[in-house]
Amino acid sequence: MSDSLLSIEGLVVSYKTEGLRRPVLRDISLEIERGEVLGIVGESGSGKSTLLFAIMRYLTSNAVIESGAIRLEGLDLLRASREALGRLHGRRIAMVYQDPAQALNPAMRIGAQIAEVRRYHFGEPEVVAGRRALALLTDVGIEAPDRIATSYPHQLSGGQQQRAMIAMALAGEPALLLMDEPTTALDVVVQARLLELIRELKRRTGVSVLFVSHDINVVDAIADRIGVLYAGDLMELGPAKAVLRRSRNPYTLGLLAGIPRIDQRVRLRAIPGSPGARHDADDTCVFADRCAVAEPLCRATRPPLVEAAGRLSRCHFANDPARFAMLSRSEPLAVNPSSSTASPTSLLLVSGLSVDYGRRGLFRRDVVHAVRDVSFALRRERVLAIVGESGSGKSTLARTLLRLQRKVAGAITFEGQDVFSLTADALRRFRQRVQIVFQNPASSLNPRKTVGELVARPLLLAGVPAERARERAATMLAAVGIDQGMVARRPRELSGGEKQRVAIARAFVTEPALVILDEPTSSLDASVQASILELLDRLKIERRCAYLLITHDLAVVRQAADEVIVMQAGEVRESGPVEAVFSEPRHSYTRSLMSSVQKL
Amino acid sequence: MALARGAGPQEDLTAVDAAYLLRRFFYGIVSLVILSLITFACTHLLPGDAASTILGESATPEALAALRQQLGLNRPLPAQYAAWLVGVLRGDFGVSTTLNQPVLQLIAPNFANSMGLAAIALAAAASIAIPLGVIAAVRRGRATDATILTGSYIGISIPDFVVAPVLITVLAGPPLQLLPSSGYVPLGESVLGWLSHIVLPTTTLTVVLIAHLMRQTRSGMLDVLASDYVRTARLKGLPERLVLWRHALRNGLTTSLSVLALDIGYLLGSIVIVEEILAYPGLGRLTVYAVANRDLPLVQGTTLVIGAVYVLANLVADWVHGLLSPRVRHP
Amino acid sequence: MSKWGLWALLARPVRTNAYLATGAALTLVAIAVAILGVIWTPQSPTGVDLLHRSTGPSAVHLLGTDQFGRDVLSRVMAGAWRSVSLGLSAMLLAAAMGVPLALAGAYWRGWVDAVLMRLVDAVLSIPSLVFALLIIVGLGSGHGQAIVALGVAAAPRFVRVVRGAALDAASQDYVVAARARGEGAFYTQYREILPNVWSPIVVEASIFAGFALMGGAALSYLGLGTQPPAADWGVMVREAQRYTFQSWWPLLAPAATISLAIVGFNLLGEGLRDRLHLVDRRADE
Repeated sequence: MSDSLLSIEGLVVSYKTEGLRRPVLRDISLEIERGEVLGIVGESGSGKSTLLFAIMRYLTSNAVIESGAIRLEGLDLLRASREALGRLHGRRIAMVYQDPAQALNPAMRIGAQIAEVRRYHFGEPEVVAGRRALALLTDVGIEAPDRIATSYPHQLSGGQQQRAMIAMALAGEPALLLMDEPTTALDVVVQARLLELIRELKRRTGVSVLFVSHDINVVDAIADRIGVLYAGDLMELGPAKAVLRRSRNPYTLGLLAGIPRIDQRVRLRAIPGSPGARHDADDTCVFADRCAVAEPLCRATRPPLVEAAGRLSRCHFANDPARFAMLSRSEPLAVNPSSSTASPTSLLLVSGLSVDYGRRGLFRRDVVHAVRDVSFALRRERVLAIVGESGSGKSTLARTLLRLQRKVAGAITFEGQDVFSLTADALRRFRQRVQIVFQNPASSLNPRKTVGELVARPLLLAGVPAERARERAATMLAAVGIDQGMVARRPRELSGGEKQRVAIARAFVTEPALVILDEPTSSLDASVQASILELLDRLKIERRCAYLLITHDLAVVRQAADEVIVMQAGEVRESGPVEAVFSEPRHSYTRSLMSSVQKL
Repeated sequence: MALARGAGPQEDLTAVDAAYLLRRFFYGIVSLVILSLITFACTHLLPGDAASTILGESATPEALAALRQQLGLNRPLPAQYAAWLVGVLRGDFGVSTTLNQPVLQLIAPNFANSMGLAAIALAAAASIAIPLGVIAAVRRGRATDATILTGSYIGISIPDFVVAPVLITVLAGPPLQLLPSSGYVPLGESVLGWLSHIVLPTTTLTVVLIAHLMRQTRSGMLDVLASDYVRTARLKGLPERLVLWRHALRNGLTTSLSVLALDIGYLLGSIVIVEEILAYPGLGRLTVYAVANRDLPLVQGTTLVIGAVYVLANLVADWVHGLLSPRVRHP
Repeated sequence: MSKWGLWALLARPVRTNAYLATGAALTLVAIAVAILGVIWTPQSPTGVDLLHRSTGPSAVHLLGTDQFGRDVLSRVMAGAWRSVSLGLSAMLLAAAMGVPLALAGAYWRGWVDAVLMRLVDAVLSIPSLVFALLIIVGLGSGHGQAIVALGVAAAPRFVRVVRGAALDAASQDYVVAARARGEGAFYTQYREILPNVWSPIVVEASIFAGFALMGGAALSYLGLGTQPPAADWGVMVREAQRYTFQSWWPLLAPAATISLAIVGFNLLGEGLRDRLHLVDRRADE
């Protein structure tokens, strides 16, 4: 035990805001051995980032480390002097951050930023450090390292920036790497390559890694051991396979049950409620009020971390596997049948659509051909997914359908009418019949309006009298699971999942025939995604409307869509029924997408 | 060393982002043109024109008409504007109606005097305010910061026409009488005389400028110190002094530069008052004189020149900022 | 404004924000004195008393008398209304001009915004005092003209500040959602964007009121605003300058009150900026 590389013992951290103490990490204990990758999975409010910054002792001024110790090779980091820490940081322990574009100094060349570590920690002269920087860039898989070394961060792509940051972290020859969601901001294919790099680095250099992420799939891809963090408590900790395949913790199981899979459609099971941190949970299990198998005991006593089948689990019933049986069953669902009542004529017909996006101002010519010659058809009550990475044009396509963007060529026909030549009346009807749900509910709901106002507005715009509009809005909110008490609240008082429900209610309140879903679950926590997907599915059937689902997440496509279109650089690479495209992708891009997705 | 770039969908390869520089230049020109329009429009709002000012109240209608004809005041306004603009481009700003000299001749020496003041004040203020602003940011929340911040709030709030009289009373009035309270001595005549006459105006100008600059530098540095890349530098184990000098200042000072350009606006405004109070023969005092006496050609001339100085200063600041920014140097 | 507006912000317990407290106090005092000065002053502000010229403070004349024997305190109080009302009026004018323009620019973008920004840049290239002088040339001297001059000269500053915040708001999805719903331009600008940019407007308004006050006093000092013998702080400073060897009080009193009033408005603005920033930040958690 005592020769583990990093040992966290009983770490307790709180934040002080306005006189209140909010616990963020409750009694965290874990160890990292040499040469191992420990992955920490956590949703928002879990405290995962706080954990990393506590290790680096770089918390905000309102953070209080109440108790505990963090030992790196025996030295307690929490009680070490600033000088001692300065010698360790960048040298024995280094960090890689979530947003590489922001974390790199925009006014310093890449090579210089990397070489700085060598010059300061190893006293290497500039020339030697520079050469070492080049070698490191090669090690992290960057081609043309001399060109990259003399470049500035803004000249690199996201993937290159992150590799450069990893090179900078490795420059000190650290024993431990801390990684804070390093791939979250990257596209799926780039992410896959970066994870491969991390695996390879571990093999080659034997460096230990503490990898934090909200994405279980990603953590599974590289971790030897996994820790599951919820509301500041370590819920489960053990070998990756044990935790993920044979979990002994209701939270972990709940999390897994709500994640869509790319290989088949399953009945997703959502965890009710939302992952906010409970402030007063010193004497209960933090997960008790959302847990499907909770007992009174769970609310009376905080469960200790107990040994169960080769891993640790914080649950009173960790050694009672029968209880978890119901949570771990996964039911495959049939493919969406071709609804016989669906009319064969298209609801939405797009032919040869091209859209340019850019600013053609004075002396400026950044025109991007965002959408090139795209054609597809969407029938009533069907779900068509448009899949692509950033820059594929899928968002521009969605905006053009709503007439928020001008087209350059092609036609869009909705319910038989040309969308771009509607009369004023017809346009108003169009706007009621076609609605959109945005990715980020925090920015799609006006923070200065109440929930009730937000949902009633589309009706008022359509000419519905105020009283009637309020009634219909209230009914709609109930239908999405928002109770009456919330009607007078403002978005900031709601959780992420609740906000998205409000956004969905707003979209459905005018009884549309087509709803465009622009990454509807991408900004939400994993445990909440399933409930939103389930809600969308239910509404689709109840209200008999069609969906245009825009996403980068292939698993969501498999889960929710009937047909799929794969886009890259504005063009359609492949299209067809989801089953067919996913089981036998024909285009090389589709194949590379499918193989890049991290699967459990 | 090759200045190549990484992958990315940009167009031009090795050139500086010339488009950026050109664009700022063009905008500057546009600003100047609009400025000239506004100046011209304002001076022609009220009835009563140059002719009546020159000839006075007792002029006969025939004399007025003749003079108007001669000065071209009968033409439609756009034509007058065009004529004036063309004249300006050729260096002919018209003739002062009250002093009967070409406006440009009147402006030139005063312009030089004012620019001297401005340059000294700017240099003095920058060398004091920027370090103070950085210190305040680095010691945020502590006593030093609070003092500096409060000082700057007060400094911003006290008008020049309060600072100057107070300074005059203290330094130039009895019993100290260290400095002259007004006037000017050209550098050629007597260095000591010149110095003694510029101390009061530059001090007044500097005091207010320091306050503005200090606040802006502080807030710019605070942003930089809170940035992710400073966090990265710190967590690389670098000592704070290195973090500050190598990482923070480099980025923070470029903001200070753009801020300096903005402050030239404050400076030019202050110059007007300060020159008037201290009877310093500069552009500002000339402007006040022109306005008070409704000398329209002179008003147009001085305003245009002041505006042009500001536009030019901003253009230079934009260019320098662009050239210092890696994004513009290596697009 | 809804519950989430100035009322809610002021009704919360005032935390240890010294700037806000001091600024609010000073501003309120200035406004109170201004209103009081209209209806009552200890002595007549224009009453000349040649027997008691340039005296220091006494029981009768708390701040002394000036070179014509006029009571300094009364003149300061009488002048307060002019200065404070000028500051507030110019600020309201600037806001009334600047805010709609900024909202329009942020909403329409494209050439509307480009033209707006060029206009703003052009006007801002003339120091506001000089611009005010220009307008005075056009309109003549006087209190009303000073208000117009300062207000118009400052509108571009409002435009700049508000436009920045409005652009941020306009890039949010809720504005895109409004467009997608078919909301009209007016509704989107005033019912969607504006409620979210109140903070910078209020902060800027407060700070600008202070500078307008300063500008107004400067114009009076130069003889281009309020004309003597009316009591006006700027006029008082100018007149007192020549007689400082007889008594410092006629110079100090208006100098101090001008400075304090401006400090008050500035601190109020800065305090509001801190407080609103705090409130906004908490809202995002």
